[in-house]
Amino acid sequence: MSRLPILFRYRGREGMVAWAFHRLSGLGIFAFVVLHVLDIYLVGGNPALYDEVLAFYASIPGRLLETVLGAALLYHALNGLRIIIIDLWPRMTVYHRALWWGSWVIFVVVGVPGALIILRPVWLPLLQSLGLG
Amino acid sequence: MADQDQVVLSPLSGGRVRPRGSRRELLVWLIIRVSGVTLFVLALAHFSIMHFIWDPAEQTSEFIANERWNQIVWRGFDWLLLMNVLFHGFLGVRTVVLDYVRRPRWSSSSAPRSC
Repeated sequence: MSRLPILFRYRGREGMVAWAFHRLSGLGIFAFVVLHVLDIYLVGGNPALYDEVLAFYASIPGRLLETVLGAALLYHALNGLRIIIIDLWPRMTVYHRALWWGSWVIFVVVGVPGALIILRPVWLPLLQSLGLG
Repeated sequence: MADQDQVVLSPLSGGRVRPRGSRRELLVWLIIRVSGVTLFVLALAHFSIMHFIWDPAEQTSEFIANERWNQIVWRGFDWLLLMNVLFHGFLGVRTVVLDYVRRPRWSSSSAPRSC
C-alpha cells in the first residue's frame, strides 16, 4: 500500500477504489469546467473563434476527449449519489456492495450507448469501409 | 485549525463523514451534497442535450446566441448549472486540498482516521 501513489493511499476495498476514482474524476471535470466557462465567453466576444472551438469539439480527437469527460461525469454522478444514499440512510450500508456494483451496471448500460453515439463518426466510416454500413 | 475541520473519510462509502463541531464545515458538507444532487440532473442533462440531441457538428456560435440564450428557460438552466458547478467544484477542490494539508502522515496506517 505504501508504494501506491499518494492519490490512491486509502485503506478499504470498494471504498478505496470509489474514493480514488471520485477524486480523479472530480479534479478532471473541474479542469474541464474552468476551460469551458472561459471558452464560452467567445460566443459573445469572438463568435468566429468559438465556431473553431466547436469544430474541435466535433473532430475525432475532440470526441475521444468528450467520451472520457462523459465517463468521468457519469461515474462521479453515480458514485456521488451512492455516497449520499449511504450518508442519509445508514440502513443502506447493509447493501453498500450492491449499491457499488449496481452503479457500475448503470454506468455500462448508460455509458456504452452514449459513447457509441458520440463516437459515431469514428466507427461508422470503419463499418462502411468493411462494407457493413 | 482544530481537528474539527479535518476531512474524515467513511471507509464504506469513500465519502466525507458528516463533520461535527464546526458549523462552517457542516455547511460545506451540506452544500456539496445539495449541489451534487442538483448537478446529477442539470450536468447530466446538459451533457446529454449537447451530445445526444444536438451533435457538436451541428452547433455554431449563432445557434447558441439565437436559439439557446435567447430563451429565458435555457438561460435560467445554464445559470443554475453554472452556480451549482461553481459552488460544488470550488468546495470540492477545497476539500481535496484540506485533506492533503491536514493529513498527518502519508503511510497507509494514517487513513482513514478516527472513524
